[in-house]
Amino acid sequence: MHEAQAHHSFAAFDETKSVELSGTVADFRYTNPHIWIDILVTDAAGNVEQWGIESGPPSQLRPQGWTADILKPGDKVHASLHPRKDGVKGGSLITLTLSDGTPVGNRRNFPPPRDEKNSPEQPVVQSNSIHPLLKELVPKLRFGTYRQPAVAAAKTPLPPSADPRSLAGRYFPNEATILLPGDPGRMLPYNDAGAAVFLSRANDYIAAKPRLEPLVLCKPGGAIRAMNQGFPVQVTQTSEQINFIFMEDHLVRRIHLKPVQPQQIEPSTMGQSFGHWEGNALHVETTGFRDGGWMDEYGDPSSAKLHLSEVITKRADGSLQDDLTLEDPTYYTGPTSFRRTWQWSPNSIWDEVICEENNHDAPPVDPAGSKP
Amino acid sequence: MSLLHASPRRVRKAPWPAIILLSACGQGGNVPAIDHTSPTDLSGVWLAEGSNDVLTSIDGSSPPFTVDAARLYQQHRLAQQAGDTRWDSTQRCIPPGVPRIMLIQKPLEIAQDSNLVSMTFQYQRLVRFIYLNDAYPENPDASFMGTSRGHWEGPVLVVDSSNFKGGTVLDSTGIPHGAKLRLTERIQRRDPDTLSVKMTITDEETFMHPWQAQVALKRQHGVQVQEDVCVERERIHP
Repeated sequence: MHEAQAHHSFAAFDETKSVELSGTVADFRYTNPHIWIDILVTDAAGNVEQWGIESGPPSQLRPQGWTADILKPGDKVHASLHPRKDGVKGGSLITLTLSDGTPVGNRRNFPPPRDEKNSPEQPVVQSNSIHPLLKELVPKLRFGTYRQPAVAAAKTPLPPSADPRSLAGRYFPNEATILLPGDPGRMLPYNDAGAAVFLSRANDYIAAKPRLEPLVLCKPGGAIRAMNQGFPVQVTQTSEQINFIFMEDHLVRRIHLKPVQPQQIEPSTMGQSFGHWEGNALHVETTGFRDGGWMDEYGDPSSAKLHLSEVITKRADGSLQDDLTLEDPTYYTGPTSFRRTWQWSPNSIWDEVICEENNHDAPPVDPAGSKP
Repeated sequence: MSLLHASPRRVRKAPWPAIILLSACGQGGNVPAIDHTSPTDLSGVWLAEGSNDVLTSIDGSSPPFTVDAARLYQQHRLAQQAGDTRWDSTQRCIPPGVPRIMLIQKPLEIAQDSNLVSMTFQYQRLVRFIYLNDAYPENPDASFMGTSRGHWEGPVLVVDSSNFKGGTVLDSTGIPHGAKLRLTERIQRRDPDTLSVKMTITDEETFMHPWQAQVALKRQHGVQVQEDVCVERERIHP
């Protein structure tokens, strides 16, 4: 059985190497957040090996002509892939053709060319003051994005409402970073505890050692990670409440605009959000978070003391701008502010992303929550 | 509203003169004022009343199973009596799909504008979008929650859903279905605190003829939808 994780970055694969395989499709799962192909390969000695090949989500493959029935068991294929770093027979797909050379889908190369401007290959520049524990780590960090290319259906676009207080609609993020706050030259202001937890998580991330972080376990990533994700967002709005609905992992943030009746609310990864309008700016305060948060892929930690303040505005072109300030005295010495923006994107196709569907090989569930 | 922003697309107008739909103009909606006096205002937090995750036909008869489907349903019943519910994929955190999600004893929240009725369920944080026009593209891929399109017939929101993935059941008793499942729901606010959902279930691979079921949803005053993490409450077994 493969050590497949339902939800992960592609750091587990060695992008400097490629492996060529010819074999027979044993299984094809057109699932989110990654598609999966099992290929049976017969080696020179006649032994049959099973290779597990992953690629991006259907949302990324669909524009390249992929469908749920593009492959079926028994198809003879030739695959080129970046192998897994851990030696398990598997990898991430580079190209896939039928054995007669016909490309699967309408493009020969997969994944689509990386957006070099936003490539994760940019180093973090030494920041002004960095915790001494992290001095050796900093040069190994990459701040870049993992934003997916926008996938749009060809149709007449729905124009945004001219009302600056109407946020309802579908958006696509302009930034989505694997490390907060997301600009080179700036890191979160870790205290001793924050630096220790981050160092441990980031070293494992860089070494592609799987950690039982929330997304790997199909748990929600929390408010800050959701607001920093590379997938569509649907905003719904009434005079009493604004909801941010995230396609990735079906996360929902509910921002109450009116006082709510007292109710026992369990701490959550999304926290409890209250907002009010000051002019055309929506001010949002969020508390009530769970402990054990991973605010980004590297694993910047958050605790139940996390406090998120936001100012959300709608810009003239219909895009959304969110100025976020986070504070968490458990792990940080002071507040950090950063900006995220979303373009108006009514043509983005909404996928049902069910991490749990692809979770059969994940480690046993730990009900107590993931390791801090 | 400026003409500059008027979409060339024709938008199905609600014949019911409700304040909440006055902003229907084929653009990103203006902020809909909640008008609890309007029968086409479905917004709020709701909970299925007494359904206990069981789909019950309107006339009390059992679903008109085909021979094969009756056999499969019987297998599910017998297995459940023996304590084996592996046929229930929700125990592996696979979404229950529609209509089952409407029957589950966890609150759901509805928000609506002229383009979209959204249902966000506490259960597994699942989301169901009901598209009222062509403002958003349709997803060609099958999904557990299916693809839902809706339109207003007077005070009734008529929702037609299809393009479902297989592998789920219609309720906790194990009523099976196939990929050709179609569901038509007539959702109507009977009074400010009650939504009636009348369903017509069609699936030629499972049922001899379409049949009808219903569920009532009750408004949950002062209740907030909370975060639910399926993998923390279910035992995952492949």
